[in-house]
Order: sequence, then C-alpha cells, then structure tokens
Amino acid sequence: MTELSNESALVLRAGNGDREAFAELLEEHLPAVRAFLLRLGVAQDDLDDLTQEVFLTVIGGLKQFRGGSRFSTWLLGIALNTSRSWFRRRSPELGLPEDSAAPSDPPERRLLRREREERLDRALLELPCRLREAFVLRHVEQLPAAEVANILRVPEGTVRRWTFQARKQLRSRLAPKESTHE
Amino acid sequence: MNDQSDESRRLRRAVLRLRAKEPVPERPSLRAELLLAYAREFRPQSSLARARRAALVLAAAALVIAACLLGARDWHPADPVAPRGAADLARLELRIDLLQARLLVPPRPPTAAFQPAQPAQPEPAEEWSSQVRLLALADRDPALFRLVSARTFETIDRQAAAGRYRQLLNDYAGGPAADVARDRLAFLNQ
Repeated sequence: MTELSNESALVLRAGNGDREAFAELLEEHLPAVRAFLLRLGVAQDDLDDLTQEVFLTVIGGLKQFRGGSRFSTWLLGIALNTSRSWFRRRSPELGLPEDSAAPSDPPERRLLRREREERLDRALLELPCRLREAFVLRHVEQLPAAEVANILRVPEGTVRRWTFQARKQLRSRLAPKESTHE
Repeated sequence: MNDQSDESRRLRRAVLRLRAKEPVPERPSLRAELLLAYAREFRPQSSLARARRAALVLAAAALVIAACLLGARDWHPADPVAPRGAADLARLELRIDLLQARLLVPPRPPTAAFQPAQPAQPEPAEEWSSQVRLLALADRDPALFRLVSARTFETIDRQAAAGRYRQLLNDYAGGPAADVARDRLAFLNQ
C-alpha cells in the first residue's frame, strides 16, 4: 500500500514537471520495460528504440495520467501497443534472439541451448498476438489475471481462455523436437 | 499421463527460460535522451510565451466573433422584412410625404385652436423625385435623418433598427418623426 502511494506520489510529481521524480521512475521501470519487450519477442537491436518510444508516450501522457490504474499497468499497456506497431512493421523472423549462451560453455552445449531458445522464441512468435501477450503477462511477468485483463482491456475470463489456449499451443509446438534433445 | 507431465515440464522450463532472458545493455545515452525529452515537455513557459499565447487566443476569438457577426448580417433566410420591403418603403414614403407637408406648414398662431384648420399647403416641388426630396428633407431635419437611417437599417438588422427607433423616440419624443418611429417599432415588435 505504501509502495503504491509512493509510486502515485512519484507519478504525480513527475506529472507536475519534477525532473528528479521522472528520473526515479526511469530508474525503476526502464529495465522492466526493456525485459518485457524482449520477452514479447522484440529483437535486441530494436529494444532501445522501442523503449524510447514507450517513454516518450509516457512523457506526453503524464499530465493526463489520473491514476485510474497503477502506473506499471499503464506503462505495460503502452509497451504492448508499441510492440504491436513494431510487429506490424517488422517480420517476426527478425525478432529471433541472438546467442545468449555463456562464451565459456562447450560448443555443443551452446549449440543445443541456442536451438532450444530459437524453438521457444519461434513457438512464441507463432502464437496469435493476443495469446502471446496474455501468456507473457500472466506466466512470464507473473501478473495477476485481473491486472492482465486491465492491461489488455478484456474481461478476466477472456484472459484465462487466452492463456489456456496459449499454453496448449505452446505445448504442442514445443513437444516434437524438444523430445529429441531431452 | 507421462506425456502430459512431460509437456507441462517442458512448458515450465520454457517459461523459466523466457523469464531468464536478459536484454543487452541499454544504449548509454538512452536515459539522458529521455530526460532531455522530459525537460523539453515540461519546460516552464516564459512570460513572453504566455503573453504570445494569450494574444493568439484573443485574436482567434475575435476572428470567430467577427465571422459570426458577418454571417448573421449576410444571411437572413427567414427575415420577414425582405419580402415586404417594397410595400413598406412605399408606406414610409407616403408617411414622409405627410411629414414633409406637416413640417412645411408654418406654426399656427395661438388662436388657431379656435379657427378652422388651415388646409395643408400643396407640395412645393412636385418635380423632385421622392428620393431627392427625402434626402433634402433629412438633411435639414436630424430627426428625419435618423428616421431614414433607421428605416434603411431594417433590411440589414431588425434588432439594430429597433434600437435606433427607440433611441429616436427617446431623443425626439414629441416630434412628428417620433410618430413614424413609434409605428415602425410597433411593426418590428409584431
């Protein structure tokens, strides 16, 4: 509760032109927004530009933000809209990740890990947009269903249906080839 | 059953992998750029900028008001005066002729009340056109001049014309022009 009121006060101050307050908001939320965009399937190369776009929208809307929802909910909603535009502009193929394995790993292990990550990303990117968003918000970001519903502006029941469908589709997409490496 | 638990395990691992995904380090200038954008958005306005903005708002409001007034002047689709203008003008000219006759009559002597009324003098200048006569008369009589002016205004703005007639009644309550003004005002108020 205190954390929430602290955040509200910070947002209010930022909306009134307090640069320090905005810097604090950046400090707290910018890494989370970048990670969220990456998990949604945005390419590493475009993360900074998209994050910038998200926060420019935030800057433009701070004066109008009335605190009807949590700041983080509002922020994730903006990030989602920005990622949708990105997905419309770019081919999903370009969203595949770079090798995230540690350079010290043996080459065959690195290759295996890379293949798994690629399959996972591909499976995620092949999901319909709404299912992917609901899945990432609910299961990866671990937000409560009510908040996901608030961000996606759909009823909670719809969120549950979408996440169920997303899990089902992901399971079937990950199953055949994963089993060869397990 | 085993297949199902395998699938669930795979999905859980996938979720954990997704959570563990780390973005590459951010561009060093990213936060500075955003802070700059923020500062630009929330820059306090100088008094000059505020005054300029206020002047712009006032100018825009004045333009809108002027446009509305001009529009109201130029467009009278349901104005009842316009179709009856010719008949009205004829009536007014007749009244003005009568006025002219009354104005040209020399003042009666005090005993005139006990004498039979003098016949009105014939119109002195039959050759004058009614317009010229009217203007000449109006030129000599400020009340008549204002009467003609108010009548002309009727075709442009009835409210303004009524205001002029009221003003005329106020300034020349007892004169002959006031009679005409009272009639016109009654007509306009119908």
